[in-house]
Formats: sequence, structure tokens, C-alpha cells
Amino acid sequence: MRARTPTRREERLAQGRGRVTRRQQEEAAARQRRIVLVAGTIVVVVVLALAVARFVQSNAATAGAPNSPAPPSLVTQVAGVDAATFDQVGRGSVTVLPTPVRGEIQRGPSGLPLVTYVGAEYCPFCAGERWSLVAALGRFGTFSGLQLSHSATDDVYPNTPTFSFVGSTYTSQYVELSPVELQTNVRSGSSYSALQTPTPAQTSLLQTYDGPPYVPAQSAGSIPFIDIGGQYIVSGASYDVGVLRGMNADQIASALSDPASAQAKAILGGANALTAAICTATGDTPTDVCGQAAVKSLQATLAAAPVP
Amino acid sequence: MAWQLGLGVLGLLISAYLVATHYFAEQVPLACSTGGVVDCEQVTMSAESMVGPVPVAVLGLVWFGVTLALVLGRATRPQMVWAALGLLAVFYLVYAELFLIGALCLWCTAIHLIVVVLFLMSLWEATAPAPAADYRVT
Repeated sequence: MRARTPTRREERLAQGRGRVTRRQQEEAAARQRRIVLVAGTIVVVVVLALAVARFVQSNAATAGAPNSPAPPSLVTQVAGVDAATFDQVGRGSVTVLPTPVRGEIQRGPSGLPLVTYVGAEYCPFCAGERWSLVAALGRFGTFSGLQLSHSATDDVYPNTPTFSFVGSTYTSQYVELSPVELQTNVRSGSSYSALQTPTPAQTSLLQTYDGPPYVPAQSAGSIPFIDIGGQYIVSGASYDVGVLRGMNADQIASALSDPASAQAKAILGGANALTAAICTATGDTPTDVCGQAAVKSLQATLAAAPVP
Repeated sequence: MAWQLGLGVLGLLISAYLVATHYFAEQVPLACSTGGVVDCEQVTMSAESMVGPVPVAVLGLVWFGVTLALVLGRATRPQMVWAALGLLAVFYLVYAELFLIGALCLWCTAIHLIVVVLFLMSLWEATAPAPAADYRVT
């Protein structure tokens, strides 16, 4: 059957339907563009907001809280952890054990084995390692004058609570401590303001042992650097400092009483490793510390490791 | 679709590289700067780089694999929903880099950008208007 010619009315109706269909399509296309534009704008705004918030936080806290005297009760919580807790933790979550160097015995002015620490207040890995060092050395002697500090607010693991050895005194019958904090946690240009100058002996140890073959070349000169009586060295943090994130000093110290806590496993595990190394330098004295199971076990592990 | 496939494959390759650097760190070193604000190693070895026992890089690999499957299957709406989930993950990971870790990873940032673009492309596909109907006189 031959198609008949549409009437004028039918033609106007047909044209009207076509215009509506095209208009609907154009409106839909415009809505599509709006939706994607809005979504894209939201994404950009969210990311920019995060970046700006981070920038503002960093600038606002550039100086951070100033150092303050560490409360004696807090120091006791860290330096006076009981033997049972140390033994329960064992190696804990330590990822890097002290490296044997077995060099000339380093002794302090009193003739005792010398523990040399080189770090900086801005340094987040130093912030973590100081907890272990204070816990370890607390088994051999007593601290006074320790300061509460924090790592830099604009570095990785920002604002990690910690101690500072500046102005502190360590007293022990078994070991001496020679600490130096090279820089503060306050920005000075592209670095941090200078704090203490290392002694020639500290510099010599750093240059001798904080590099190949004891430390990989790409990590040479890293801090924290700890020399334990010329027998073992530590370069960098012994554990993941991230376990301290979001905690203040009181919370970290309190967590040490629970051997199952992530903080205890990290800090006390590191302290056990440092204790084992210190015991090697002190000839296994004091016996009540060096005879503990965790210390003996780690000593055996350290003794079996070859000098690089 | 070609662009989506290309970006998906690129994201898959970068994720595979990050997975390799996680499990075979000695054989496959991470090519990135360390020690400053841009510190890929710091980010990829942080606690935030793991979801339980699973590295985020593995989750990224899975995400890109599913994305490619959805693109090839022309599953427009599921692809958009899947991409939106990826976008939410990107927001969290950027937050973690800036506020929790304090370092940025360039490889991770590249993946984040790819996810964002794939999300916008999927949204474009999902909101595409139907073609105009032809009127025929019979």
C-alpha cells in the first residue's frame, strides 16, 4: 500500500515531537556536563581542602610546644619497667637489631663502657628510639633532668612525643652515656636550628661506623646513631615509629606496662635489644639485668651476627 | 572506552609494580626519592599501607582488574559505583599521606589521579543522554 501524504496538521505534530525529542536530548547532555563538572569540582575541592588544612596545621604548629621537664613519674614509668614485662615482650616488634662492629672498647671519663647517642630533636626516628634508649639505660642507672620534647611538626610522623637529652644527666655504676642533640625541632630556613655540637669523639664514631660497611651507603650519616661501647651500633630507628602516632607522652608511658600493647612491643623490644648490646660491653653486669631470659636470648642472636 | 582501558591498564601496571616492591623489595627496588616530604618508601611501608594483612597495593591491583572487566563488559552503572568506591579510598589515602604519615608517594599519587579520572569518565558514561528518536510518517 502506497504511503499517503501527511496532512499539514500531522506535519506540525511530527515536527513538534522531533523538537521535543531533540530538546530533551540537549537538556540531558547539559545535565550530563553539569553532573560531571560538579563531581570534578567536588573532587578538586576535597583534595585542596586537605592540602590547605595540612599546610595551615603545619604553619600553625611550626614552633610546636616548647620542651618541658619530664615529670619524674613519667620517667619512672619508662625507665623503671619491671623485668617480667621486659621478658614477656622479648624482641617484640623490633625490625632492626644492633649491628656488631666489635671494635675497640669505648670507655667514658670514668672508665666505664660508653654509650654514645647522636640525634636531633626534629628527627622523628630519634624520637622513637629515645624511648627504647631511656628504657634500656634505666636498667643500668638513673636519669635526671630529662626534657619532654617532640619531633618536627612538618616531617614524617609529625609531632612524635619523646624525650630530649639536652641538659640531662645519667648516673650508673655500669655504663656512661654521651648524648648529643644536633638540632632543635624549630624550623630555620630549609633545616632546623642548631642545638649542640658533637665532640670530636662523637664525630669520630659517627664517621667511622655510620656508613659502609656497617650501614648501607644510601643511609650513611643517618640519625639516630648509637654506639654501644664500640661493640654494636644502631643507625636509624629499631621499630616502626608509626606505633606512637596519635599518642601523647603519658599514653605512651602508660602503654609500656602492657606487654601486649603495640607500643610496649616496639619500645621495650628495642630496649631489650639495646640492653643485650650494653650487657656485652659491660661484661654481663648487672647480673639481674643481663641474666634475664629476653636479654640472654637477644645476646645470643647479636653474638651470632657477623661484623659487616 | 579506549581511554578508560588505557588508564585502567596503566593503573594496573603501577599497582603491580608497587606490589612487586612490597613482596620482592630486594629484587625490585622502589624508584623514588626518600628522606623528604616526597618519600615513597615511608608511605609504602607505613601502617596505613596495609589493610590487615593485605597491602593497599594489592587492593589497588584488584580494583583496576575489576574496573577493566567492567569497562570491557560495558557495565556502565556498576562501573560508576565501583569507581566511586575507589574515589572514597583515594580521599582516605590522601588524608593518610598528609596527616598520618606526613609524606607523599609519587607512584601512589599517579594512581590516585588515574582513579579520579576513571571516576569522572564513568560518571560521564553513566549520565550520557539517550539518542534522539527519529519520527517516521507511515
